Amino acid sequence: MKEKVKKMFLLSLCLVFVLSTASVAFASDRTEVDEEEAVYTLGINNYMDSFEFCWKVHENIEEWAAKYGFKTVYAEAEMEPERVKANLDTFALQGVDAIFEFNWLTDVTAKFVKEHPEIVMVTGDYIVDGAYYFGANQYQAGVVLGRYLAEQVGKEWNGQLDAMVFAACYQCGELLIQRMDGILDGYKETFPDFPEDMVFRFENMGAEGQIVNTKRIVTDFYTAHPDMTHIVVGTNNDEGGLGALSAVETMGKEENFFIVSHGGDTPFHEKMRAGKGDVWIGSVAYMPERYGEFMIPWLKDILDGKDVPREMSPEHFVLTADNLD
Amino acid sequence: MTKAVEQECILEMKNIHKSFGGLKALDGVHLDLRCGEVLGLVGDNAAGKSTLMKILTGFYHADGGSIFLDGKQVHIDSPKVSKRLGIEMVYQNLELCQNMNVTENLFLGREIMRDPVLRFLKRNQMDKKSVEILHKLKIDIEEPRKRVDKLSGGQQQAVAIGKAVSFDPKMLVLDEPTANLALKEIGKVLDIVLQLKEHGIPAVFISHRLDDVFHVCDRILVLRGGRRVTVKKTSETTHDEIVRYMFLGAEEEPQSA
Amino acid sequence: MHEPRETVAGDVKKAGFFRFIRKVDFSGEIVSIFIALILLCVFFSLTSPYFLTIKNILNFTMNTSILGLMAAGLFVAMLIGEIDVSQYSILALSTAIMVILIRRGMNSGLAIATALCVSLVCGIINGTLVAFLRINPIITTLGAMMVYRGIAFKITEAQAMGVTGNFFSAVGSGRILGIPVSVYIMFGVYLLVHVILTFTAHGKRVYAVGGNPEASYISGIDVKMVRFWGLVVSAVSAGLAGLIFVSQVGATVPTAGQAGLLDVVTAVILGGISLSGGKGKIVGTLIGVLILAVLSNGMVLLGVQGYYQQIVKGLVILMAVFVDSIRGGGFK
Repeated sequence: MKEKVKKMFLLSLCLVFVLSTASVAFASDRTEVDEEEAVYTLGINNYMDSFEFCWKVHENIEEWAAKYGFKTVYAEAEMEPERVKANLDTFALQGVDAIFEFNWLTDVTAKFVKEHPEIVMVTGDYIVDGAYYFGANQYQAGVVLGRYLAEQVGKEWNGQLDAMVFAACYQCGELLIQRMDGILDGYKETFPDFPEDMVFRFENMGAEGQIVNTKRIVTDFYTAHPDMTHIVVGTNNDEGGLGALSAVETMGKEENFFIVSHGGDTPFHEKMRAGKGDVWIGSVAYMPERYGEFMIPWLKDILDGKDVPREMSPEHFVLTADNLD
Repeated sequence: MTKAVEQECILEMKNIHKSFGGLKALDGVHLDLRCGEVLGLVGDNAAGKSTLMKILTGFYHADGGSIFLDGKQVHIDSPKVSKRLGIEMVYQNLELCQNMNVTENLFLGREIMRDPVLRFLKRNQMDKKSVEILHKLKIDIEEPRKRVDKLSGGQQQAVAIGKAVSFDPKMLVLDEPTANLALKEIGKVLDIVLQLKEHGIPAVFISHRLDDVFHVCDRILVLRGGRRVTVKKTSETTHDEIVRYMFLGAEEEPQSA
Repeated sequence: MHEPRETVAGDVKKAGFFRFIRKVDFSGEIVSIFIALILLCVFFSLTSPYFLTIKNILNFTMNTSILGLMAAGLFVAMLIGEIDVSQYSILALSTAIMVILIRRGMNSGLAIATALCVSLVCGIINGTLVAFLRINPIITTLGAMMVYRGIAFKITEAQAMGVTGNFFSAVGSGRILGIPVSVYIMFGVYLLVHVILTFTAHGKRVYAVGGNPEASYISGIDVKMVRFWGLVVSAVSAGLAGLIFVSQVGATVPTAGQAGLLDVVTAVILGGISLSGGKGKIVGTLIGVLILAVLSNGMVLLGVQGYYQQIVKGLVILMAVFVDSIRGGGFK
């Protein structure tokens, strides 16, 4: 008897579920949303807020979206292609007017752009056919950093450099790679004869994270090359810079290393204030805390149908201990 | 059954040796089983009873010695081979799949299939056959699709025996079949063993419960410390004598009964 | 001696609907997680106007078909008492090879077959190491995960690579009677697994080896081969999921699954499988997959922040286990 009651209860639940689904679904395919004062609706498909850069970008976009009367809907995809697609589909379902896509996956975004030409797609820090681009010119940021590096090597080391070690997320895609290539090219504008075989590239993404991996890379590299006295470590973000700094300090080889990084974020600021500017000589700023300030007005112009450039970038400059404030 | 048939050997295990690392588990053990008889195999813990039978059923491989079935030497490499030779064993821990039902356990490895490739089961036919098997053994299990872990100890034992006897075995080994059972259930299991004997299936009956051994067995073989001590006809020995052999061994060479 | 009872297997009282109900499995774990799924759906339909729409339901079902396919394969491996954490890496590798071949001019059909063969080879490697060389499956598939992923990175130079074609369009965007093709594929695979596990000797042996490998060995079952095939099935399901992946995403992405690696295992465990093997129903895994899909979809609709999503996912899993323990008499 108990079994029968249990089964009938479950069946009733299923029946309620099916009927309610059917009635809502057949009544309308899309429920009417409250008509607020919202000018436009912006979907933000972020990488993840626990990544500082992305969090700053997200915060600033939300702030400026509110100022301009945008309604926002938010999701994270952690650079998982399936989740990117699922989130974009959900945004489309919710009737967004524009999407800020910040997961650096070209193909899945391009596919969505083709399937949804009515939605304005703005990709952050990566280029997709058919989409608008807002973000760093990553190669150019690298070049700016490389030029500064060359200046410092010339001034402090008389132009002597034994090796350039790049510890970066090479698996993260072409734009990340361009950051590092930019450093080398910028450096070579001053020192064109710097040999390619003295450039070492290592992958620093992995289960232990970029800080630990970069520390290990730098330590192992110096162990294998104890005779080198002038080494530059370049990283694609400030996390990597932290790892490199930790390795150098642990080995007690501050006079033998320069560290340069991309980002100019909080970790870099803290180390500059702690007096580490002689080793970690610079970080090229991407200004995540101003993304919204630049992007939202430009996006509103796009949505209003004005003629605007399809690309927009913030300025890049090298943050150092001297110009931090 | 004629006396001549009774005395014919169906199984001979000669000079069986087995070691586990430095431990000598069996040291030149001989065993013979005759048609239609139930042979009791007794001994204290670590006497080598289960080891000897696991060699017979292919679970272990002997380090030395030979096995003859119906006069022909056989090499038993695995349980699969022993089954093919018609040797079935009911293990002390039953070796049933608790997550599966009665039918599935009875037919495990020998399912009735519609085709050899996709191996779709003839479930209804298997269920019917399960009921027949259990009915023959006078076992009261209502639902052959009942999961084995829902059965009592005695019922599980019966299923394990049913599994062993349901495919026309040549001989049977029962390892402590009454060890964990209540009194009522012990009686049922012993009845089953006697039924099998009536049907002419010879068996080796391992038990530390001498009452049970004396109840069902025709002869009793005693092992001690991996060696054969003696073998006696049940009608020509007593509990006390067997116990003495189990714990004290024998001074002279064992006699074949 | 008492009289045996006359019994007939599967007493059928009434035909049709009630016969079906009697035969449907309402085992404890399934009921609990099904209730959890329904409660989740009710919650999200009350809190978001978009949740309970056909489009949304089809969307999240379609988008979960990749995870769903891998979970079906992993379920078989876990039923045998194994585990495979290399599935996403196999997906990355097999799709990388397929896309590279297509871009170099190979016929799509041949490239797709090659991808499936690659996943099969990965499964054979995993299966050989675990079943025949007796290496622990977690260690084996962890190592394999890194190797396959590393090869995928190497051959793609860590770049995503796009691909187009009729097959991918049909699978990725195609619909039959309004339902996405990938949904049919996913449900088709679940049905196939159910049929094999329930109605064939292959399936019974999977349960047997998972429940009691020793008894299975004694019964004459080739336990090593069953274990071997379990890992092969898991790998091939990843290869199949890879085809859906490329169809939906439009590319091979060598980093795919690095963040979502545990979701597959979570879905299978949520479905009520016994971690030691031998117990579980494929329908439970399907419900587990749908629970994760509903959660992800619902939280996006509600705009829930990323770290809260982790907390919510964990709480739902605990709730499902809690409900199950109550049903199991934990509060008697």
